[in-house]
Amino acid sequence: MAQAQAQDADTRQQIADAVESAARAASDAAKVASNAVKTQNEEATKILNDFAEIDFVEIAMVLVAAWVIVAASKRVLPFIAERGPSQIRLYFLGSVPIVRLVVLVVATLWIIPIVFNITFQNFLVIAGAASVAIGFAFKDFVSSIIAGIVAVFERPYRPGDWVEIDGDYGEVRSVGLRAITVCTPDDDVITVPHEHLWKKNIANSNDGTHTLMCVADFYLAPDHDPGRIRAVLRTVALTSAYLSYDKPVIVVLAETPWGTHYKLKAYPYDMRDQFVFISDLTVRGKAALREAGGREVTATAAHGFDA
Amino acid sequence: MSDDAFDPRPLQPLDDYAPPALPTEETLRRLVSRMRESVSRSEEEPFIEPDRLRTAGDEMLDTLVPPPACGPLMRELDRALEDWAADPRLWRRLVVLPPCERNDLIKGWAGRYGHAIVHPPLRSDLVAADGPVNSPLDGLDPAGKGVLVFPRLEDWFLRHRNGLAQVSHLLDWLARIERPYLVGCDAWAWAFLCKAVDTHMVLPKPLTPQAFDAMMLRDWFRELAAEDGTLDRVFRLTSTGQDVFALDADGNLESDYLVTLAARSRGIPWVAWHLWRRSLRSGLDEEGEDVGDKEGRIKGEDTLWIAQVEDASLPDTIDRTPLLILHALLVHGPLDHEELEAVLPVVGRLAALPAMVEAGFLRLEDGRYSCLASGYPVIRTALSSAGMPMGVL
Repeated sequence: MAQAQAQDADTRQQIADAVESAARAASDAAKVASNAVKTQNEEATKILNDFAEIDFVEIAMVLVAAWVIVAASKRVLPFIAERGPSQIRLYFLGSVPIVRLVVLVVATLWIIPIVFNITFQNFLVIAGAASVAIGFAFKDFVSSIIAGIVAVFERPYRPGDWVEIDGDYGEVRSVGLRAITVCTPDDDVITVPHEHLWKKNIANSNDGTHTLMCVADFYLAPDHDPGRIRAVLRTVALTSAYLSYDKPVIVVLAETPWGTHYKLKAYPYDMRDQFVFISDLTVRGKAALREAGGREVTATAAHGFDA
Repeated sequence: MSDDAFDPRPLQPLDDYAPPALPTEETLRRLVSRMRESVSRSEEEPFIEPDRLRTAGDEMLDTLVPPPACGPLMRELDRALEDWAADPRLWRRLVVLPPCERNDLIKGWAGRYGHAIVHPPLRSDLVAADGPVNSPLDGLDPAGKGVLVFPRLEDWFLRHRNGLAQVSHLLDWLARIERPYLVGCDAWAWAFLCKAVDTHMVLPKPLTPQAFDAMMLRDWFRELAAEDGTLDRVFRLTSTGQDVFALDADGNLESDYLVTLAARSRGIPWVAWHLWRRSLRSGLDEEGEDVGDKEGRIKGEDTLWIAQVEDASLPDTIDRTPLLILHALLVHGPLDHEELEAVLPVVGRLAALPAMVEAGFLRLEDGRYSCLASGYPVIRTALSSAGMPMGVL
């Protein structure tokens, strides 16, 4: 009996020791964890790396390499595009903004860890500060840049495309980070911010293809044979030296208060010929209409009718 | 000569035409060579300096590479047309010929076999504003017997606002008649007519001769240069000294020259014939001495040399006028100055014509301009690079 009581006392003592030991270990662990959190917080609040740790040579090399690649792509790719076969022209021109975007993203992702101490907390701090700055000072600029990035993927326009934005029609010469440059038929160069992507309609006449529809308009007095006129105008387009064989030729007409409006629609084999193509259709179309008994009405007559 | 080289081959569907390809190795070699040349001048010494050799004169060329430029093709055409003789239904045919054909192959054949040739309208009658006038079809019997041959469909139109009436009238007429006929057409004119007047609907399934590959060219050129059936001359490249006709143990050509020539000419015999003639050089220098013998490199053989001839460049202009001229001439065949002005949208004078004749792209003969067959590879490449509509061959 006494032996059994002694055994119980030992067991209780062992349990008490074990509990005490566990409590001590838990207390130590809590202290370590507390220290770790404190250290982490100190590190997290440090946004920039130590000045001595930043490798400025590496940053400079990345920046120079990125600049060289972007500058070279802006010169070499259009150079090849203008001298190579016309079939590959648009591919080379269209690759310029993509190359630039890829290079800038790679360079940025390369440099950021060198300069900044990247943690989630820091990210929130930087994002908050940047949001305030952007919201007040650089809203339009950043909006254009983001629209430019969207434009690379959505492709409402590419270098070499013929577009109409806010009433300006011309060929997209370059797609920059903030804006595109458009060269009009009168050789004016217009800079259009990407921001227009959010608010304006963008009409792309060729949408990345090598040709676009050209329309020559003719207005005739109603006393004529429309079947013959349609056939004559169709032949005018089919015998143009600029005609693309792969696309259709269409003649449509509509009656208007001042006469019959004919639209001769056809595609040139190279969209850069669109204006000489329309001129060719117009010149030869006028001669063909006269021979076919058509009588063109003038703007003066139209205005008079309207009045 | 291989035994069956000149067995006349049947005409084939136009869509099956496969121009010989440049060997991959040759393509890469040309690319590398061009890049190297653009960086620095090649230091490789040619086997024989081509500048020391005389250009072969017309008399020599007419002995070594005599006309016509289409020899084996005439036999192929004869064979095909003989086959058709057995079945009159087969005569409702269109044969599309490669561009720059100046031997009147189909007209010559029709003349030899006594078939009725329908001559095209006068050029002045092609652009009459009131529809087809003085049509050559007016006196023909659509239900008559005998084959009607229209040798050159390209002579029935002008790419002018009034210039399609005669060819449209002809196609309508052919669609209605039951009489057998044969129509010949240039490959570039065919492409245009398919677009302009739907020729492929009236004349479906056109046929065309098969492409000439390197072995065909070898056998043909050997046959032309042989006297009494034996060839006792050797044709060597100035660059390497290789015999261009020599075969290796497997029966393949040792040199790539003829493979390249076949590819450059796109299998068109008269283009290859002209390029071959242009590259030939006499083995004698200006003093009349044999250059190979003099240098001790070639002994005891009658050698003709084949030099690398640089391609000419199109006149340097800021507009497309030269390309438009070349395209118009490929579509129509020979045209005079007034006809060219009628089919081209050029404002002002056609000032580029003399320069293009001088550069070796055009020939001016009897007041009419036409594309030279020897310039066709460069012309085709230039037109293709400009994105212009291409001929089917």
